[in-house]
Amino acid sequence: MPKYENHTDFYLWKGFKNGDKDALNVIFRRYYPLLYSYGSKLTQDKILTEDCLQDFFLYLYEHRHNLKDVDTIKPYLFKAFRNRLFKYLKANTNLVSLETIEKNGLPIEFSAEDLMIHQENAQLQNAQIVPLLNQLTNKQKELIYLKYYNNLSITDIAEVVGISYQGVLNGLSKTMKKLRKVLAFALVSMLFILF
Amino acid sequence: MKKEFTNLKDFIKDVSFNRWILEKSEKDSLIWEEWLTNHPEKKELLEDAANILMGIQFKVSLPTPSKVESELELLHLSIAAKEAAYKQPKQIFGSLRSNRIWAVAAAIALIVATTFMMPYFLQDTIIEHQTAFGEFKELQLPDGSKVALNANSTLKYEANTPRKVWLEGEAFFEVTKKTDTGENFQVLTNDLTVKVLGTTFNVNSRNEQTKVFLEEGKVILEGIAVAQNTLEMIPGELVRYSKKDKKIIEKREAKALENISWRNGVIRFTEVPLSTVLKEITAIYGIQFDNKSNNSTDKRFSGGIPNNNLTIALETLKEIYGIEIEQQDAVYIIKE
Repeated sequence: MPKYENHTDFYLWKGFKNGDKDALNVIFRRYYPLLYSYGSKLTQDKILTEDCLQDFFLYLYEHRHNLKDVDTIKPYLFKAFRNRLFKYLKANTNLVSLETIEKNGLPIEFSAEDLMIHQENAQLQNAQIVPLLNQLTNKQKELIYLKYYNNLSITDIAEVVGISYQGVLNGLSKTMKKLRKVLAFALVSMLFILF
Repeated sequence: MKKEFTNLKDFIKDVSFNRWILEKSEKDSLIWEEWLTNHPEKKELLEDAANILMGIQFKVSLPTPSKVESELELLHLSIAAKEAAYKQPKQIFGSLRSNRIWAVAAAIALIVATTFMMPYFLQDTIIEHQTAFGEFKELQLPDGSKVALNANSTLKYEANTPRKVWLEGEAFFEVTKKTDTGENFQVLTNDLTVKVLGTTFNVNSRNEQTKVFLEEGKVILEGIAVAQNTLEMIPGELVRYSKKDKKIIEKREAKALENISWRNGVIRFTEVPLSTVLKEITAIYGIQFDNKSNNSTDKRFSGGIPNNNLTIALETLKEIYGIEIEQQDAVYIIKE
């Protein structure tokens, strides 16, 4: 069993800050895949995401002495990576200004392949969900993505995107209202089974 | 249940509600069934909360473990390259003040030379900056412009015209704008002239061609075999030109990282064959290769190698292309 595998995030992070390469490896292996899919969803550009992630982890390592202590690494990394990605996009593309991204978010696109098929009529259901998802604002899409793809808690999402708990909840609620017709079906059927 | 449920947060933070929706617990389902009968007006709110909790089921698609491992390896290489760079004595170039003293000294030398040794020194004094293989320098020119000179490169200019420089090899420029005089900055290579107002850009004149990457601002390429002999570049653009072939070999939008990452100690490649990487290593470290492998010629590489540590650079190549590298005297022989 490699070192750190059973440590809490707090000690793992401490190890990383002390320059321990084992801690770096554990963090990298654990979070690179998630950050990679987050980045490529946000930018729609896998090569850029790879470059930016290399740059991000190198930056973290070089500035490890100045990083704050954290109890949970995941939201911290998501937040820091998101900031880095926005800066990086500004430096490496001519198309977007940082203010525009910060104000409007990045244009996420969902496709039917993104959704899990979990019911018999799911294909039909997914076909209905995808266009509704893509009608959402970029920021709402990102909330959905962080919550249901990456399993971040509402508190963590609030930290990552820099809005309040209530703000995240409102965003999710608006989305769910929009999807109501399609999703409510699932709940009604569930209530029906349970009652 | 005594608790009030008046908004979404009340539901979402409730343990029993979570258990019911997410774990489908039977005990909780009875509780909520009863609750809903007593609060039919809250049905919609409850459904919204349930939908938020259940959400949308995404299919999770992650990079393969081997991809993650190769990226982790690349990260360790970059860290090693950075740490090696810190250990080298850092070249410190004088402030503007000492540069000025130096310029005055050069000017005095020039006057002395032109007065007393006229027959011998008809030409202007040439200032030359050179980097050895594996070396990297940062310079400040008398006009305040900054130049990062990559390994195995030479930058020359005449003392009285420091805004007109000759480059062999590769350099990154950060040019100060002369708003008062509007005077251009020029970089001359064997292939072309880059004419600049005030901007940051990279020039690479290796392998009998010149590659210019414009990061910011505006530059004009002169002396090239296209209509009007000039070409105006836009930021983010990369142009590769060969005088020998009299044509533009490449013109596209490019990322800053792959063009100027050498300044951070890493040469970055995107989808390139072994032959391209070998040329670059020859240019930077000054070693000769004899490529006796054949199956690796079409294999493409994306990633980085350090520009100040030959051992790591060669190790990376071995691993990525699956080749053996054997040193025989001054030549590195590449085998399958």
